[in-house]
Amino acid sequence: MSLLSLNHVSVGYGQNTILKDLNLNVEKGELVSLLGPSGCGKTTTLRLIAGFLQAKTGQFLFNNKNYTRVPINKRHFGFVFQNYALFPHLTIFDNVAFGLRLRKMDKKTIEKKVRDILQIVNLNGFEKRFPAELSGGQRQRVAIARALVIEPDLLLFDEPLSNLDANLRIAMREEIRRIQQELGITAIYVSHDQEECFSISDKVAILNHGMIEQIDQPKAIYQYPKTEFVAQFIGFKNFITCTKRDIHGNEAVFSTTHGKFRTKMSPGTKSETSLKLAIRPEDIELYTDIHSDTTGENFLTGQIQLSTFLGKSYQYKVLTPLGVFHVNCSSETQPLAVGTTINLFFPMDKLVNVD
Amino acid sequence: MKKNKAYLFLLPGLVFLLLFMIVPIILTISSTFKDQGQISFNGYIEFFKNKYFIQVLMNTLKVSLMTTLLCIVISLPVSYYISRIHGRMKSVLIALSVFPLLTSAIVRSFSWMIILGKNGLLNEILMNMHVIREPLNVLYTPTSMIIGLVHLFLPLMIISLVGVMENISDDLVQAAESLGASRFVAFRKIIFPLCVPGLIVGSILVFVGSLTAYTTPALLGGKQQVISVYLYQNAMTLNDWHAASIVATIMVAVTFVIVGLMNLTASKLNPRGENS
Ligand SMILES: Nc1ncnc2c1ncn2[C@@H]1O[C@H](COP(=O)(O)OP(=O)(O)OP(=O)(O)O)[C@@H](O)[C@H]1O
Ligand SMILES: [Mg+2]
Repeated sequence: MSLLSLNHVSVGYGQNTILKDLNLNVEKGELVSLLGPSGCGKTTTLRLIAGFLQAKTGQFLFNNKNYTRVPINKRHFGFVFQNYALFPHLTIFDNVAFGLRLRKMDKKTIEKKVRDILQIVNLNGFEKRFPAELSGGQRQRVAIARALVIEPDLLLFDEPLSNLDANLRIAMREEIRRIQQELGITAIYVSHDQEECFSISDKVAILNHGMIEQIDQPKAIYQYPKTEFVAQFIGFKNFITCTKRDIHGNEAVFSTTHGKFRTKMSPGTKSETSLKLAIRPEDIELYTDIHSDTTGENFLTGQIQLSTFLGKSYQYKVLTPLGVFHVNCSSETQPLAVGTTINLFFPMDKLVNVD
Repeated sequence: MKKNKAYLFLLPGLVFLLLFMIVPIILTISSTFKDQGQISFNGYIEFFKNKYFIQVLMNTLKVSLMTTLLCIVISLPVSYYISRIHGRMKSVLIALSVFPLLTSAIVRSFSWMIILGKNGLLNEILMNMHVIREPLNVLYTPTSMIIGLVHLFLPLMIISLVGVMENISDDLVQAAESLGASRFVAFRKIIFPLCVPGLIVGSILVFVGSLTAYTTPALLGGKQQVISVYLYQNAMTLNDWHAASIVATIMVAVTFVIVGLMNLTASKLNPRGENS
């Protein structure tokens, strides 16, 4: 049994339904990220779990108990807000001690717990300051400490690092991961930053229009997106629409109007009707010499339409009979001129079959 | 253009205030310290020896304090509710809450007379429901004065509080609740302290307003005198302008002391007034 499960939950604001039929399972000790385009319902999902919003239908189980109607203050979850939501009239010490005092602990215990947690987030010595006297990164850490110190059953993060600069972001995400693993806390983490999600999560859930399109380990999602939306979202820019699929053992051959493409069967074989192939721009190989070795299965001929310098690489827009492809090539080689006819090679282990 | 020249625009206003407010106040106050051409405090000493005057002063302070406290108690939930809703309903509620300010003090007071009188609405209802056997004596007591003043000054408190409460983000309450606070505790520990600046502004407005109000206490207070009515009688009925000036000066001094005390309390309650 999972620690947390959302079963067929729908949530909305007024008449507007945001989450239609959400299902999510989180195991104890896991850090699960929610990733998706702006407005897809990530914050809404977190707020639902925290109890700030009520489900219209469906059920929220936590620890085998029905939490659907449990009030916020009885849930014992920590919430880290995007804008920190520190109490401006209280010192850092009092901010962190807020939850402990409500639990009627004695003074000594509170003092010890606050000092310990401030130690963990590297903020000892700041107890007497007020939130307005801290930097963004420091406030962020106070917000995390305040949520952590009550030893919550679940920790919810809503884009906790979005207001920080790039370096601090990387340092803080490692910090969050370290603390989460050290204390064995189950956490749900929302972010816009894919790298952030992939680097700190045990599992990533990709949301689209209030539905989870795919939930899996970061590596699995990165290599084998299940749907076209997920593929698109994580950087597969090229799609091939095929007409037929033949399976031979653990390989599959896809037919198109212009040639055949052989791929490895990805884990979780798709249904007969999924006839889309996806590949990242950096995974397509490009050949300028056209002869019998560079034609046939998994090859496609095209013409360069546009060349863009991206720093690390050049991106070519290549027009082929199967549509436009984006191909990235190392910028160390001589750039190819617009109009050059070239051959594209699609390595079979990089070509992914998606719904 | 030089920056200094911008101050020229302030000149007409300053001259007006100086001529018609500052100068008369100074003249009034300085006249109270003169007795037959000599500087003396006799007027004040006599006043503070006068038991009746002390009683009136205390009465006024009590009524003003009660009015302020009642306004705070009533306004807190009302303002919180108004500050949390949006759209048309909000404008309607704000308009409704300032309504008492738009009606004339005389009309308002007469309505309360009709409601609170010996054979008034309140007594009739209570007697018909057999809650009481004898009619209550509410009208012409401090209670009726306080009712009238609360009715008059509640809008000032509500508006001041809505102003600060609107700037308190919902996230703060939700943060408190997620840390285990009930709605009520979140209100007491988060919303209330953050409201203190608005509470002080509202209290000063209501308190000073009640202290100086004339029509409402004169009509609803009956024989119960307050300081503004006393001042009026000295000036207009007894034609004793010297005494009236002394009363006026005492009123100004009391006002300053009270406002100063309130500000002091505010800085104690809320060391960092700013919301972020
Ligand atoms: N208070 C609200 N009232 C009405 N609609 C809302 C409210 N809050 C959010 N929405 C709508 O719900 C949808 C989902 O919002 P949500 O905040 O969950 O998105 P999100 O995935 O967190 O987006 P972002 O990445 O931009 O934060 C959006 O279409 C938004 O317009
Ligand atoms: Mg959001």
